[in-house]
Order: sequence, then C-alpha cells, then structure tokens
Amino acid sequence: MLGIKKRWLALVAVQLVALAIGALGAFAHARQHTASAYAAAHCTRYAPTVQTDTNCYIKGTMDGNYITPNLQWRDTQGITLDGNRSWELYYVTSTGASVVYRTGYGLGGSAPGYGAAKTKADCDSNTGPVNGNCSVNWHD
Amino acid sequence: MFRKLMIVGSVGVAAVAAFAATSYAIRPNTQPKLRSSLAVANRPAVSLGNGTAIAFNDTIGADNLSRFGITADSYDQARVVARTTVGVAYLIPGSRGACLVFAQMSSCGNPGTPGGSMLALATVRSGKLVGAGITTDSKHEVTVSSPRGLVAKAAVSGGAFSVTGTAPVRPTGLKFAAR
Repeated sequence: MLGIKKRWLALVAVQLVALAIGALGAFAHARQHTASAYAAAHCTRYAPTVQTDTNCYIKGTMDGNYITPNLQWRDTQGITLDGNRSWELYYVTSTGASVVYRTGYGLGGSAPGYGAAKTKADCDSNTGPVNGNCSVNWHD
Repeated sequence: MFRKLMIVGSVGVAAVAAFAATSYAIRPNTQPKLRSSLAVANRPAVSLGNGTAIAFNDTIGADNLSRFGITADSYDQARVVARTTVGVAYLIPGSRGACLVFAQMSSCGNPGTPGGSMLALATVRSGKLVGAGITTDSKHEVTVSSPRGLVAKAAVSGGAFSVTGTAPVRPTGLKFAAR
C-alpha cells in the first residue's frame, strides 16, 4: 500500500517537473520573438554617461543637460525616459550654434541628423531626475 | 512496460499542455489601440501608405517601435492630430503606447495612463515655435514656457492642439505643461 502511494507521489512530482519545463520553454520561446535589432555605423550613448558602440541603450539616472564630447557627422538621435518629461534634442556646431532643435513631452523622442557640419549632440531632461538615456547615431 | 509507456506519455502531454497554456497566457497583444480617455481616438482612422510607414519607422527608431508596439497595422489606424506649417502631425497607435510623428521627428509615450496626460512635439522654424500634440479629456490648455517666461499657449480641441509661436523664441529650456 505504502509502495503504491510512493509511486503515485513520484508520478505527481514528475508531472509537476514536466509542467515547469513546458512553462519555462514557453517563456524562452516568447523572449526570442521580442528581441529586436538595430544597425548603425556608430552609436554613442551620451547620457547619463558616455559610451560608444557598446551599451548604447542602457539607462541610468539623468537630470539636466548632456552633450557629447566630440564633433561628428550626426545621423539621428533619440532620448528614452522611464517617466513622462519635457525633453529637448539638438546639435551644437563648432561655433556654439544650436541646430535641428526638437522639443517634446512624453517618454522619449527622436530627431533627424545634421549633414552641413560636424556637431556635438545635446539633450535635456530638465524637469527632475528620471531613469533614461540619450543616444546618437553617427558616421565617420 | 505498458505502465512505463503510460507514465512517459502522460509526462509528455503535461509538458506540451503547459507550453501551450503558458504561450497563450503570455502572448503579446499586437493590436494597435488608443486609450478611451483620449478624445483623439474618436477621430477617423487614416491609412498611411507603405512609403510613409517606412519613413515614419525610420523616424521613430527600432527601440521605440518595439517599446510602444508600433507595427504595420499601426499605420492603418493613424489619426491626423494637426496641420502645421512644417507638416501634418499624425498619431500612430501601438499596442503599448503611441507615437506622434511629423517633420522627421517623433515623440512617444503611453498617453492616457497615470502621469501620461500629454504627448507633445515641437521645433523652431524661422525663429518661431511650431508644434502639436494630444492630451487626455481632462485637459483644456497647453502652455510652452522657457526660463524667461511663457512662450506659447494653445487651446485643446477634440483632444488635440497645435502651437504656433508669434514671437521669436530662444531654443533652449522649453517645457510643456497641460491643465
């Protein structure tokens, strides 16, 4: 009698493991389908910290104004925030002029590039600290 | 032997059933949809052509397309927000938010959720502010201010607004507010 009970318990345990494996497989399958790719010549995340060609979309706490250290040919740039804020995106020429100015309100936005000269990329999220990033795509 | 086969079979069936049930439960909702608290949702849906959809995809960027659930179906559900001097502003609904797009720029968010009372976008042309946006039903006016004071004010009509500055504006430190 005890032997039969043990067998049933073992069977139930095996069934539970099978259920768990099935569910984990489904999660793994779903993750594969939600991955996305992005291609650009170069990318630089410049807010809250600067990093080029790796980790371009990693977020951190940002507050205020950020600018890239170097002048480059800019293709597009964007800001991504975890909270609704007023934001600004623009480029700064070597003479200090602001070009391709964009402002908005929401969880993020984008602006086109600038082909007339090499510029620094600039972004603002100046309505309180928020988790996010600013990144710019550029070419040599 | 028969008992072993039954056990292996039942384990397999359990695993497959769990896979199917979990897949169904966590399936992504891919249908573009605007929240009911947005009056702009009642505007007629506009179908944008493939060329426009591709250009808007480039403007929004892969990261935000994925984040806000913008798909090919979204471009059959676009809404005209405003006609500005720099182009027509469209709202593109996604399954997890929406993006406002015009003049090669975009602003994305999840309007209608707590904290998401507005989606706005503007640029400066010939020294003057030009923009547009949407708000939830409870908002009636949108202001744009700079550190020096009020830059522009716009009335909300049918859940949307357009901003046309009348005086030259310095493009820095501009902020939107809705009330």
